Amino acid sequence: MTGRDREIDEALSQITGKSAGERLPSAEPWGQLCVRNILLVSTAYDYFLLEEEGRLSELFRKVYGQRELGYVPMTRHVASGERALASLDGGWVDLLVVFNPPGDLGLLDLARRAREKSPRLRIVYLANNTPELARMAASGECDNIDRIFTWHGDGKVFLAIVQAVEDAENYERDSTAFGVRGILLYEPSLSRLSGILPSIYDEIWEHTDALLQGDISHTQKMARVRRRPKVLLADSPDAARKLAERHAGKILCAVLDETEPHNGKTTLRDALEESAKGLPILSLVNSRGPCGPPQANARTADIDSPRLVHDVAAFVREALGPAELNLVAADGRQIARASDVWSLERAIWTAPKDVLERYLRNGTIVSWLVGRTEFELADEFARFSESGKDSEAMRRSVLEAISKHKTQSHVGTIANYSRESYGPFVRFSRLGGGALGGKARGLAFMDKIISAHVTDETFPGVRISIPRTVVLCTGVFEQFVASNRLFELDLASMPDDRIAAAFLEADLPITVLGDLRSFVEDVRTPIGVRSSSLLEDALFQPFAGVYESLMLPNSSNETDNRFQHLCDAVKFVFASTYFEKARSYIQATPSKIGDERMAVVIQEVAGAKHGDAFYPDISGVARSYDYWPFGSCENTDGMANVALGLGKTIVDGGVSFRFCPLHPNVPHYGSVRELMKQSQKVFYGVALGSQVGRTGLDDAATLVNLELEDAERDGVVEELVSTYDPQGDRLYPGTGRDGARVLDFGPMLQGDAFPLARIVGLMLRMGEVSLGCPVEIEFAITLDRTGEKPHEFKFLQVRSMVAKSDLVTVELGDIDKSQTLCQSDSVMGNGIVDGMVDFVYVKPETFEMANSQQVVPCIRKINKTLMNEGRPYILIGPGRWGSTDPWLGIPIIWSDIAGSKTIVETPVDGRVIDPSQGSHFFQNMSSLKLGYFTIKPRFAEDFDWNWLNNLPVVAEEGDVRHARSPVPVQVRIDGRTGRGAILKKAPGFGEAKGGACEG
Amino acid sequence: MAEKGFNAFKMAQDQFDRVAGMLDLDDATRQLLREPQREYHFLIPVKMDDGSFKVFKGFRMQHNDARGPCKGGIRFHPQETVDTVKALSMWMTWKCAVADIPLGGGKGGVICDPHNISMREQEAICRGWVRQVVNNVGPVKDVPAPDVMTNAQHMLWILDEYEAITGGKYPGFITGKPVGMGGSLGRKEATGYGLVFQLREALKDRGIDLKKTKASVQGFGNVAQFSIDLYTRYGGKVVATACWDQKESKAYTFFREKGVDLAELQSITDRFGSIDRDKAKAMGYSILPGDDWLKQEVDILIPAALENQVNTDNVGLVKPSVKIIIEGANGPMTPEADKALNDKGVMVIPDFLSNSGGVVCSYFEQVQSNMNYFWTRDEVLAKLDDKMTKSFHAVLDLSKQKGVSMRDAAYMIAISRVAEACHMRGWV
Repeated sequence: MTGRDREIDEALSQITGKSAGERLPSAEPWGQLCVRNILLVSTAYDYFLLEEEGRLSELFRKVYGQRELGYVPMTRHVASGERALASLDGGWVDLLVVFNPPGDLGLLDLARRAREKSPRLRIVYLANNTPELARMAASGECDNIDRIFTWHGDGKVFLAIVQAVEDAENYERDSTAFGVRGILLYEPSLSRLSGILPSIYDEIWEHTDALLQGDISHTQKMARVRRRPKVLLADSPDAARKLAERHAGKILCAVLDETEPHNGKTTLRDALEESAKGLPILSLVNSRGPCGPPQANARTADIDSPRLVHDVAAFVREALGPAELNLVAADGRQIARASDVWSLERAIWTAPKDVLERYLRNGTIVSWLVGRTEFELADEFARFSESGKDSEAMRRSVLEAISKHKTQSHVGTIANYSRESYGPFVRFSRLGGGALGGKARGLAFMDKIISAHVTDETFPGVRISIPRTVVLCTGVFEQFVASNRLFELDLASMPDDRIAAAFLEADLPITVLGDLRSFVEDVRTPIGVRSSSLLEDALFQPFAGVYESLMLPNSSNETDNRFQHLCDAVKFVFASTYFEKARSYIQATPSKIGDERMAVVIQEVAGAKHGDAFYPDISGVARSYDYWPFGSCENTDGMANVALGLGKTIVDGGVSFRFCPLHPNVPHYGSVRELMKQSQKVFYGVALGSQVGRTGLDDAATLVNLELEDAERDGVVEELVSTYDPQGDRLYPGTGRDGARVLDFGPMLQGDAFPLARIVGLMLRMGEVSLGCPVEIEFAITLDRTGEKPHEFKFLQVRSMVAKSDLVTVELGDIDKSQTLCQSDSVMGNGIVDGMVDFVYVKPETFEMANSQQVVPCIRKINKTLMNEGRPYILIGPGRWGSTDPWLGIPIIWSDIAGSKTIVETPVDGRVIDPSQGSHFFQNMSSLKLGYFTIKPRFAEDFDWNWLNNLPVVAEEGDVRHARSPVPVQVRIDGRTGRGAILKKAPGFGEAKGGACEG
Repeated sequence: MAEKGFNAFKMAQDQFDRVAGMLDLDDATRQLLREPQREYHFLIPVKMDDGSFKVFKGFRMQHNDARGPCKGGIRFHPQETVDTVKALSMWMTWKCAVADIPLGGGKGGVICDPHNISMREQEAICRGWVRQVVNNVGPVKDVPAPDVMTNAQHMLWILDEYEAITGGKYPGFITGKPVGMGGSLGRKEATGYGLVFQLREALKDRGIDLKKTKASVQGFGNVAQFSIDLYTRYGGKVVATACWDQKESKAYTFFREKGVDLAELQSITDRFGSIDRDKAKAMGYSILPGDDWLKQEVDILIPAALENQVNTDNVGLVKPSVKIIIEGANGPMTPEADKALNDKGVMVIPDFLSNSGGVVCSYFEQVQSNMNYFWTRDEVLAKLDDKMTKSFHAVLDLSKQKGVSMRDAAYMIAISRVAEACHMRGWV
């Protein structure tokens, strides 16, 4: 277990009382010996023999490199024993191979001293086959040597040595953990062993390669490689017997040398046949030797035959089993063939009862599954076969087992999209070449983490997973732009609608069209088409909400319509790479628009159908670091915003409910009435009947605004609301009484209707541990009220927050109020920002909230000018910047104020509008390390409007003024206390100039 | 048109008889399907440009329309024979059936040499052809298309005459029309792309990563070019393509180990489709004899030029590295060569399956024309991919299930589908 896994496991144990143990992705080579570094001691000539005649490097590349095993053994050559011993310093050598003893040190000395230096070092002696070798072996000169092989001029023996060393070390663990099968080989003749072993490995790899074909993910491929049969070398008949007993049931076949006279004693073959009935055994015999001809019914190969190696290989091939399973009826008629679990499922569906029963009961299917390394499934099949069930019951059971197996085998992996095998069990797949993009990568990563650590038992009755997702990788975008010559457009200055029109007219790459259509054919729920750009996961440039994402109802009965809508949505998201807001945003970062590549996440929307609308019961955004903790909560306890319906409510900064996952009962609202006033009343759902037009590609076309009453009518509020009792002025969780419903998630947070806080807490902790920094997550929950299925917690996104990791102390206590423009104890950010002289502010004396939309174009214009001039500025205005509700603040989008480095929110009519921590706007601010001041009423009177109003005016339009201070100001923020101030004059200022933001 | 001594119709009938035997078809069905249902033979008198009159022989064969209106091209050729047209109409029936589109098989022709007659005279032949069969063709009866030595212009004359006589607008009567005049987007790419969709599936079945494969192509016409285009987009490498040189009346193979660049070769191709050898040499191509495309050490061969190109004489030249041969042209392999390769374990994907992308897209054009509503290119090509992939897998599954070649499996599916339609209609 890695440190990260242990930490996640601890968090899991704390929250759920259960440990994940070792449910880790099976392809990770933890605990396995991988021979990465080989030290070869030989003369230069012998080394030449190995390299040139043996094609050593080529062989390693072929076996390890081409199969992408994650490493290729590297051989370092030294020509003397002393240099070999010196090279062992540092412990980097996994395997020492001595190819004929060096001149300066005898083999005995070299092996002894090497062993003293590195007790766990594996030492192999590769020798020319001479009588001297037999003498050395007999005289004990090879005592410190693990194994001896002989050189026949073929480099494959070297490869076999490495694999045999790995197998010897790894078999025990792999056999116990996964049921990996072994091939038992007892051959005392070093020469024969060195001839046979490479051919056995050739067979194993040929068999394994056949299992690696098809659309399986890299992780699945690695798992299958790890589960390939291993070779167990026995040094003596007794050792062979013990190995067979120890791994009873896990030995695939045995190749035994039986040339020694047995003198009437039980032969090794007899002993093994006794202990492992039915085990395929090949006896290597000497038909002219003292043992005489073999028994009539025994499978044998003659050691003197020139076909010996061929015979052994054929025997192993047979034992490994056929690549295809052929189901044949009693009359010889072919019923079905299966080449993988998918086709096996089809075969089982269609096979007549008698055929199915015969193949299950005689173990053919079980053996075939074992050959395919599907050990768990094979075990289940074996159980069904022995259960005495009738054939139809067996059919049902095995189909159920296959379905479960398919789901499990895809969890946590990224498969290439395949229309043949796509189904509900494939959770994450990719289409096209290139990168996944930030959003998709985060999702794939969390899928892997969740599948490794969270099971259906972690929170009984709740299934935690990601929605089914297909990612169109960045290669598709590149092909699209190139083949349609879209780069010839003036993308740097064209208006958005013209860019969109040009992109919508263009053709998607032919290589993905068929797959996209088959996806749409298969998926009938609403789908989200979301951007996942290359730069989107750069830690300090999150690009949250910068690119377009669309929701498609996907409800037409016509596949053609749904396909066309999907194509248009993909093109629209592609086009948004070059939209105005993306261009502005990227200008404020070190990146360039040309660096950007867009992948597209196509994802089933989490939720359920309610009449003509589709929505989840709960959507949420949670952060593991809370900038404004309430009551006894700490910053690091995190916070969550949850809302009924689609998450758009939260990410747009609408009304949602806030709680701390670690302390869900700590009230975040002053009074019940305040809570009622600020609680969510309306929510979003996908409008299933809506038509998506090519010109109307925006959310408004596909979403529907619903009210709490609608949800109550749909029967989804019981677990989400409390009921207000006016007499007691209090809230009662649930809908058990009459009264106003208040969306406070009381039945979940105060009762036990659903472990919302615990799950969110765990997800945050897992995200934080995995990413190594505070994180923000998005999720959606759909409750099952039929009792037939688990509740679904869908993990939608993870991204890193920029934390207050490098805290700088700023003493505010001593600051003279007369020196400050403003002060606040609700400030986000940290450190000192010097040098800014520009202020853009909404004039409080003339501004009214009713005009909040009218000031947006003025601010946009000033922002553009200042960005072009490279002058960061301080933005001041009433209420919540970026609110979608024009009565709560200026409804501006991020790109329109992207040049500001400090934002100040002043009270509206004496009240403070709470910033929404879940919004994209907020994410952008925190990630770009902006200073973010919320001026509470008690600090409002200290705000020096006079000073501001007397500054020289650079531009003024309507209610917006751009003023410039003759001297640079200083912004000071203490990240630990959340206090900050803007000083009207930076201490010891120089000449006025545009300042650089401290980052 | 026909090789001396070679009777295409007899060959088509022999093929049918063999597969009918494998399917154990009843006698009545065999009788019905081994001949065209209807044959139209007629004369087309045309006033020539010099004032004289000439009478041309025309045909329309409707092999079978049990699954839908007949579909097939109209050929202008001086050596056209009735038997060739009959055979081709039968093959169209099988092609439509294996692609699982609701159309039957037809074919037409006129014995004439377009090289020696003016465009006006050709127009007169087209219009005369329609006048002879107007009552027997139409969007719900028999839908012609361009074929040997006919093109979109001929189709528009035929359509115009048909509409003039019938007094309506019937763009669904003809396919192969230009885009904007009732043609479909994606039509020109359809055959080549359709072929590569099936090649992609074949490679998947063989467990071969397309990105690691190399191919050699015979031909540099429409099918070959679009095959190369899509195959290389998927990541494969075409190392050789053979191209006919009009001036020298012989073919050459253009070979480049690092792979041919389609756009580069197109830029040095003249209007007859011949690649400029000197320029190609300068670009790093080796110019090899015309047959050398077959000798390449590649995984895939795509014969997409002429019939009978792989035969007993040269089948031995095919390298053991070749795992799949996918036929772009009609009948590029003789039955003997086909058998020899199948015996060696090479998967041969037969012409009427692999090059059915063209007729599938013609069907799409007909559907769009009948609706008078035209799809985007994305939609056409996605549907094409869907159709080609499904038809390939149906044949592959049967081939595995019955242990027969892909060609036999394709015939079995096609013939059994048509036979089934005849049975369901109560014809036999």
